[in-house]
Amino acid sequence: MYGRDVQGKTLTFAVSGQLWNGSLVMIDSETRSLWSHILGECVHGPLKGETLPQLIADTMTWKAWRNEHPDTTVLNLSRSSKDYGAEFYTKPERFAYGFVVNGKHFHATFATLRISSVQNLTLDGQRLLLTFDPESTAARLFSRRLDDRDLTFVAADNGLIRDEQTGSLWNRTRGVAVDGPLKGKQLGHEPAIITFTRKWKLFHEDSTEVVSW
Amino acid sequence: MKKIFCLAVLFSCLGGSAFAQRGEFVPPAKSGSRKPIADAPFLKASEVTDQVTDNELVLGVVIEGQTRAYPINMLTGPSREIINDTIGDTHLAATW
Repeated sequence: MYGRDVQGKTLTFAVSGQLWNGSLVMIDSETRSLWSHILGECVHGPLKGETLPQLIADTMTWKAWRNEHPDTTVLNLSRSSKDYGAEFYTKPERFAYGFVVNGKHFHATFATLRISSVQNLTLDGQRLLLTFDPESTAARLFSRRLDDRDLTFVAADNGLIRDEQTGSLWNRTRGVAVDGPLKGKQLGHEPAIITFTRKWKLFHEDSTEVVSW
Repeated sequence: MKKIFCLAVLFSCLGGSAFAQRGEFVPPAKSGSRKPIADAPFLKASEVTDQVTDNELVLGVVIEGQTRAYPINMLTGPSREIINDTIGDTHLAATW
């Protein structure tokens, strides 16, 4: 999910018909520049070197999304022939949750996320919380630094998580404290993308895999 | 001798970079680009009957207090991997 305003212009993207290492290349109608889909970066044309801002987005089941956001609108196009989803559930190691911390790349496969669904991470000095909800299949990345304090989390009942510093209970996909001393507090969301593990590693060969323990 | 050494170091650095590994992008001789999608239709959640199923994965965003979902089964396919959209004042490209 990218913003599409670059150099004060709003760009309109289309499928270019080209692939780069098997990954989609987009073209913008305004300048005819070519953009790597996975990098969000212009690789050819007048805007070469520009990057698109990555927006926070979630991937989860429609049921979970609708329950969380009853007022949501939803795209209404015909379904593509590929029944996307089955593979995601049966071969979780093929999919990765990738993100960037201080310019360094990290990823966790969904196989790992299923085993370790609450991970307190310190990556390049940043205190992060990586969560996975098996019910909705939503992965999320948060900052676990809140009001000048580092929090650490453990799994609690009913899919909630608990911080060990105050005992407050939190929703693991929204990052909101729902009970306890910190009730109402919100952890900061960090952007991440879901992609094929193989593709992520191809484009970011320096990426460090976050493993379970 | 010193010069040769510097060149060798330079080449080994270039050879080891991630960019060399994944291959430089070579632009095509001619473009086979598709028409952009910029006016896609949307439904309210309450209007959904069988267009989206419960266990299907969607890409969801919250922007300026508005929420919108893009079913991944509607975002894949050779000509339809990018939806140009606008929510509030935010112009976005929904792509998976």
